[in-house]
Amino acid sequence: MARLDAPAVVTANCLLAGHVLYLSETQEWVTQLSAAHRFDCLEAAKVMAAKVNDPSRVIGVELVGVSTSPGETVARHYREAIRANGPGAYVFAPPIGEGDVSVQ
Amino acid sequence: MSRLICVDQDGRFATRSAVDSLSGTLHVSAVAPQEQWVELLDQPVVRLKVDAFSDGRVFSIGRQLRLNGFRGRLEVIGDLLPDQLPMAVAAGIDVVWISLEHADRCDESQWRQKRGKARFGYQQSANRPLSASTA
Amino acid sequence: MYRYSEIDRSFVKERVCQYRDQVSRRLSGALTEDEFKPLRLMNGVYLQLHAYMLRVAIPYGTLSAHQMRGLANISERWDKGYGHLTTRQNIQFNWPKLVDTPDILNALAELDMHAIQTSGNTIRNVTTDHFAGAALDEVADPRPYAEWIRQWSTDHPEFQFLPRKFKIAISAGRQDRAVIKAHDIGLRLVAGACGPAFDIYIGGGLGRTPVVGSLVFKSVPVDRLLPHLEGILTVYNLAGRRDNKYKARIKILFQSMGLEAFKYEVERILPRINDTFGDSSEAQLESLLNAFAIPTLPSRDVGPYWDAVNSRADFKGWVKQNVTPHLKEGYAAVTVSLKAHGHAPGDASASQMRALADLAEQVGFGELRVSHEQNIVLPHVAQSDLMAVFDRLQREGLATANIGLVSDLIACPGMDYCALATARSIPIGQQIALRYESLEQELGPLRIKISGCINACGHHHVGDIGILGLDKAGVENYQITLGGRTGMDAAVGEKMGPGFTESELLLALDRLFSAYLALRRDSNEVFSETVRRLGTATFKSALYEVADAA
Ligand code: HEM
Ligand code: SF4
Repeated sequence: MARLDAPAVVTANCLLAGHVLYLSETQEWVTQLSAAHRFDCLEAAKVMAAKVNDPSRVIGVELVGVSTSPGETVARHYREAIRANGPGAYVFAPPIGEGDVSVQ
Repeated sequence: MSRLICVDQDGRFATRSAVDSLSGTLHVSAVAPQEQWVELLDQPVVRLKVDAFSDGRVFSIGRQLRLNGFRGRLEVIGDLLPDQLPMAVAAGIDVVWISLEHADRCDESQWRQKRGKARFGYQQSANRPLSASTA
Repeated sequence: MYRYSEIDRSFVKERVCQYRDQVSRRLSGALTEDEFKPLRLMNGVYLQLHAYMLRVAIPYGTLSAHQMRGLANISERWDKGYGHLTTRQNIQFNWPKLVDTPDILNALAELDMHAIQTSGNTIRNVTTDHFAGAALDEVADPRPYAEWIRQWSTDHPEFQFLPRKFKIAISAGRQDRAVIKAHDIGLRLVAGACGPAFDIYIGGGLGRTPVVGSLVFKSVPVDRLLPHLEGILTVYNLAGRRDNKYKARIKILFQSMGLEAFKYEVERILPRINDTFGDSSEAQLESLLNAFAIPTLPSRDVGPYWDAVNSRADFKGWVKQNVTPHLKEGYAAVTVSLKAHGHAPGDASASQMRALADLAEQVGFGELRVSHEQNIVLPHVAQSDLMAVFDRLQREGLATANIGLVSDLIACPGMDYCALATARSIPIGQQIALRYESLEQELGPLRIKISGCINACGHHHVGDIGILGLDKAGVENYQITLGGRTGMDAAVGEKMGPGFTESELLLALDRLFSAYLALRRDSNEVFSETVRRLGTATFKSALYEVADAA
């Protein structure tokens, strides 16, 4: 994976349920990337990641690069975008009769 | 010097001992090649050091030593998981020495529980020697 | 079909209890994540990108109507109402919660099913021919032997912590439908001098370093099969590399030792291992041979079948593509396509699973198979029932007549699910299927296989066209291989040049297919034959034609 640059957010998966989590401004785990706290300093993000790495709640705590533009926080790499948004709408076979599947 | 706890085939925490008193310890990587077994067959005690519980060589080494007639006591030094005790017993391993720190987390009740329940093995039908004493 | 013995049942139940205890020890902190991970993997539980994933074993791809219905129920109760059938004849649920997994395993145990050894560095689910027992070209049904191996390998105390995963496949047909040469051990059931025997191939595997397995032991008699497997596993367990997971498969050890030395090491320990296998394991096999006897198939009038074939073109087309001759006259094996154009390849919804269970019960002697091509097979159907099967499948969206064609492609989960992926696979597969839907009859038999990273779960190395998704400087990039083959003359495909972006990929395939249609001798020469005859260079230039001109 590409070299990590600031800004970044802290992410992990939930131990109990497995879903994707982000660390919010108030140091709570939330499910929306848009609600994640954006660290402009990588060092600070690393310190925070180590601090919140509680193995009884989360697994795989790591940093993820997000875009620098103001406004909503979005992932820089497609992997993280998929991780944030879930698999494409096309993955779940649609009910019969609704053959029209988006492939984009 | 760190100290170790000896877990027997029933999962009981038996002896405590200073690590340096466990002399003659061989690392599993030194024993894995077949040529090396032969020299061990007449020893009264063989002690195998394992660095990680996921290094499953020790189970094949134990099994091969037993199949080739080793009748001595087979000891393993390393932080195996309680879940691996039945595998160790099936491989003819008599005791496992674990660190105090590991024994704190994986306490005696967890080890006892693994032995308490008879473990079913499909391989028993293949006359697998279950322990040193039946080897 | 094989039915669980009390021994199987108590073992599986016991494992559920052990696993429940392991989960609670993980939650209490008695086990660290590093310690817990191999234990959960041994029970089929992975962590993916968005959720845990549970991989359920369907040993040698065989399951009953009752079990299929149970899987549908599980998918609705604990998952999102669908399952994914895999190239290793398993089914995966993509959205279970860790805390629910002990209950799911318990529900599986009630169905005489489990997820044991579907993952982790141990001997995995044994796979075989999805037409086993129904195929015209087989020496004998390979499944009793597969079950024998399943029992031997299950919870084998010596082989739960191998250097790496270990996959065994077995096939018995003249044609190999289990890709045995891409497995750590591939077994070929042959007619030996005194009864069935096995040719043992070792050291195949795909992944980062694709290798075709080599024949090491020829015509091994049945009573020596398990000792040979145990000997091979012992040598591997002792000498396989543990310092680098990309070099830890048996194929790497086998290559570095060489065939003769490897064989010598196995033979050296074999006599003592032989001694430990008593008569009981042969007695066990004896009862398995009976358990797999194929159902009595009564003779049926085939008149209505021919009437239907002659009167309905859609039915005729489906029969031509999806129905395979059966060893019993008047019967056929039906391949139900899980590759409707534009759907996620290999996914089945709960209602589809139930429809398949109904069909199996009504006309299929209660039996279903999962094929490594990610489809479902009804192995024994009277030809006179085919019309009813077709009608029901149509209603369920399962009647796509595309087996063996472009849209019957294999795609691994890729980056839509998989934490190891470097690119998505499913949408690529969907776009290809939709794009060539009207051309695929013309293109004829053609196998496209797509993997979302070098681990090659989508078998791309052995596809006529292999597609490997990579990450090139933050953009998905797809590399094409040509000339891969499965079967007894299996070959690893040749990498063409640089990869393509998602949109370039489809244009490149357009050029590739045009070149094939222009260059083939006639419409009987299938894609792979044309590639073989002309060499891959011709097709490589077609792939890059426009790109170069630009
Ligand atoms: C989604 C989670 C999955 C993960 C994390 C995963 C992981 C891996 C890895 C790491 C390898 C390479 C092993 C090696 O070469 O040492 C591999 C190979 C393979 N996997 Fe998967 N896989 C996943 C899903 C699947 C699925 C869905 C299928 C079937 C469709 C599958 C079938 C295979 C096959 C056939 C191979 C190549 C054969 C071989 O082992 O050499 N895997 N997988
Ligand atoms: S090939 Fe790669 S992306 Fe696809 S399922 Fe396997 S590990 Fe995941």
